[in-house]
Amino acid sequence: MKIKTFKKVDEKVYTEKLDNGLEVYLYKTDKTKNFYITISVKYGARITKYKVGNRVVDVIPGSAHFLEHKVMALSENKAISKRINDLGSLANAWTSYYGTNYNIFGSINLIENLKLLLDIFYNTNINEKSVNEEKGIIGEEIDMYKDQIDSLMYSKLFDNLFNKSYSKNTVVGEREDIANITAKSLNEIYNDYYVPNNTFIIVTGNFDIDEVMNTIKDYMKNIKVKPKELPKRIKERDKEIVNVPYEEIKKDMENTRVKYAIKMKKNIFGIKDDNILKDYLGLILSNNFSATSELFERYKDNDIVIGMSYGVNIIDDYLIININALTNDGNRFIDNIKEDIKKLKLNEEEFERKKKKYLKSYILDFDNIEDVEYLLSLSLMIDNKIDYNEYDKLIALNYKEASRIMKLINFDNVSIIRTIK
Amino acid sequence: MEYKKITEDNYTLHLINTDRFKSMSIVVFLTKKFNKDDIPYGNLLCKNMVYTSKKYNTKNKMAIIGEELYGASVSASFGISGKTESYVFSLDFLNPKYTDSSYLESSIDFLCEILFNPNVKDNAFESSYFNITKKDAISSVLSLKDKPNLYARVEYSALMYKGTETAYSSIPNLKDLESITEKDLYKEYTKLFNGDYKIDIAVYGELDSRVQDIIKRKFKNVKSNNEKLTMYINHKYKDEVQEKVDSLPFNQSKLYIGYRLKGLDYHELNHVLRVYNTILGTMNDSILFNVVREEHSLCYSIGSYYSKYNPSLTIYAGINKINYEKSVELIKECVESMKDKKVLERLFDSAKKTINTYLNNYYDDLTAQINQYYQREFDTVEDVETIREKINKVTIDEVIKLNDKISLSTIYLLKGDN
Repeated sequence: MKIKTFKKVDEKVYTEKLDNGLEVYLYKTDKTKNFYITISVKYGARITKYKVGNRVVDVIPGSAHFLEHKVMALSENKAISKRINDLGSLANAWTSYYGTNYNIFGSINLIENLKLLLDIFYNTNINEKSVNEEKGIIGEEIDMYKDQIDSLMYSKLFDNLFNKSYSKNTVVGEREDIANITAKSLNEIYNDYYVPNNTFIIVTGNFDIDEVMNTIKDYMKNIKVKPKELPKRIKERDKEIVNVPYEEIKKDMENTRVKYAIKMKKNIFGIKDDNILKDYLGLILSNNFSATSELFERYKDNDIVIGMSYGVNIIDDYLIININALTNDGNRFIDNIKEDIKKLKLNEEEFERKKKKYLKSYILDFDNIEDVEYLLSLSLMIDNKIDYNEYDKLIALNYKEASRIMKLINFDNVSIIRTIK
Repeated sequence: MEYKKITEDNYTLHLINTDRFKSMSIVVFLTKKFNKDDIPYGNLLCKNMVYTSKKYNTKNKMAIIGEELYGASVSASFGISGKTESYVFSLDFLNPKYTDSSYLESSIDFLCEILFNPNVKDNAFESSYFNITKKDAISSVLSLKDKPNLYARVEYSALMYKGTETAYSSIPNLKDLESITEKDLYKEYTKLFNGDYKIDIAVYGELDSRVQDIIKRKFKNVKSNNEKLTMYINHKYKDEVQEKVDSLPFNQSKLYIGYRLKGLDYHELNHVLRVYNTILGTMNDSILFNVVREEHSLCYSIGSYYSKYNPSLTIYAGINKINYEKSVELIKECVESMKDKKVLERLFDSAKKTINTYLNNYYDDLTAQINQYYQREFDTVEDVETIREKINKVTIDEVIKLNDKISLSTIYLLKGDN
């Protein structure tokens, strides 16, 4: 077992890669009475096609999320469900583009909870009847997201930005997609991806590190799951040019919402570490488009926006920057932002001030066991590793590099989505 | 964790000394008896006070000082709780040990600038920022119909709690909001620290010995109203069941079902009801989740919550409009099944353990801890370990007996018309 330390905050993670390839990360703190146990698989909605051996599999959109519902099928597994309830624990799961996470939050008998979570993960029984029954529940979940205007606009924006990318589909899929999902299609994915060398366990809370590690090792010995050849994700090559430059969504809403996005190749910045690139862009965009920026103040003073925010996403080889506005006049906002986005500014004093906020956020990440787990699992799903030197990297962010990056941003490849009454 | 309460003539100070978090919080609560005429001012005053101040007289300057203080932020909110209304101003900042020795006082200065030095001229809030925030507030009221969850909850509450304080939300009436001027708002501001409100200040974190003195110095000019307030509402419900259906162009329909609770004693309201609600609608395997979602696939989200100060139990679900009648019938059956000892026996011990887990969460929740000390100013609020002990003593028979005091009052559907 290795001990890794996060600098400045002196927080430690105990980690070990087991013989079967499963990775374990343990974060112990005596500041809580609870524990949070998660098992995650590095399989999410971004995998739309894969190859394993000579077999090529086309994945139906929404499959990763559907599989999450069927693995965490507590109502079909009464014995496990009863034990979780008897322990007063709370079980849940979530799916993203990058991975799927199964979790138990509790305070009584961590070891038994851990074994129950492993039982849930490794004892699935996905059959046609239960898959069909689940379609009603997931259909309601899809409708719920469609009623959330921001969620709907993001899904349409990413559909418009790309030609073939995974991000054209939402994580939950559409009702028409899930209608085609079968027990067979889900079992195939489960068998290909839910393997120990594609899985990691994180435990955070107050517990005995050796006891937890030994329990996981014993469990793995008993079930004898072996590492498998991992499927190779088949990435669709996207065109650089946006697919749809402009779309209006008819929606009888009080205010107009606009998302103005630019798409560019991420390699133009010459930065290998996506997180560092995102940190720099976050600083630049915050200075120019956040609720604390001068531009926002000018837009407010001139009644151009009611609210404004920004986002940075890296989707495979591409970088997406989006500026979002809530406004009374969509056309006026679009006319203004088209010009103002090209006038990015950041001076050294502003840069150092923004950097302080990053440092605060890093320090506060360790205040809550669920936040620590999320931080670790997201890093493992997206980057396949945990960066214990993040503090040094934040300190090393410098104004000169930020200025260089700011000059390289390309504003020409635009996709706009807006609501219209 | 150490707690110390200091009652000064002009405010009550709650010092909560703990190294649990790497941040610190100072929360200023201003509380008075609810008056519906105050609603239009609530959010508008909050927005104006945090938008700019005399010293930081642009939005950008206000942002810069927050960033200079390592992302320190002040939030402001206006809310209604039982028979009271309150303004809550909250400063969150890093534990000063991660920065420098002047950081603590600088952060408190930032909060005090917002509280005591608003951007006013000639007894009126500065016009341009007033107009911006007023427009935002109006826009927020008008866009209520764009938010189906919030819209449904506001409409349900207005119907269920008609004639009581709970029927009101902090969202104002448009006409009242539109009529407010810069001078009106300033007049309302002058009441905040001038004896109309009870003032509570909670300081949470690894406390420096200087904190108490700094607060004393900075708050020396405030005046508090120390008249005893209560949160409990004596709601005279109508006996008949009321039903209302609204519709808006959304995909999913929102269903709310309200049950009135009559004549609960302290133990029933604070301990038995919590167990009842957990079994019915909050635990993993709750009756509502099992029957409506898992057995009949009628919804994705379903659950229940209760109101202590206006005793009632509410069930909510996101459903398809074609399943309205079926969902209502199933939910009624679920509540009916709370009388069945066999059903309760299956879930009873687990429910108590689930509550124990929730109670442990209290120690990880800064807001819950601060609110507990604040609420003790108005109500008997037991500490977590006492609640745990009393919850663990609740019997199945007490849960069954609670059904005699529960009856259906309101069914509200916001029909998704898409």
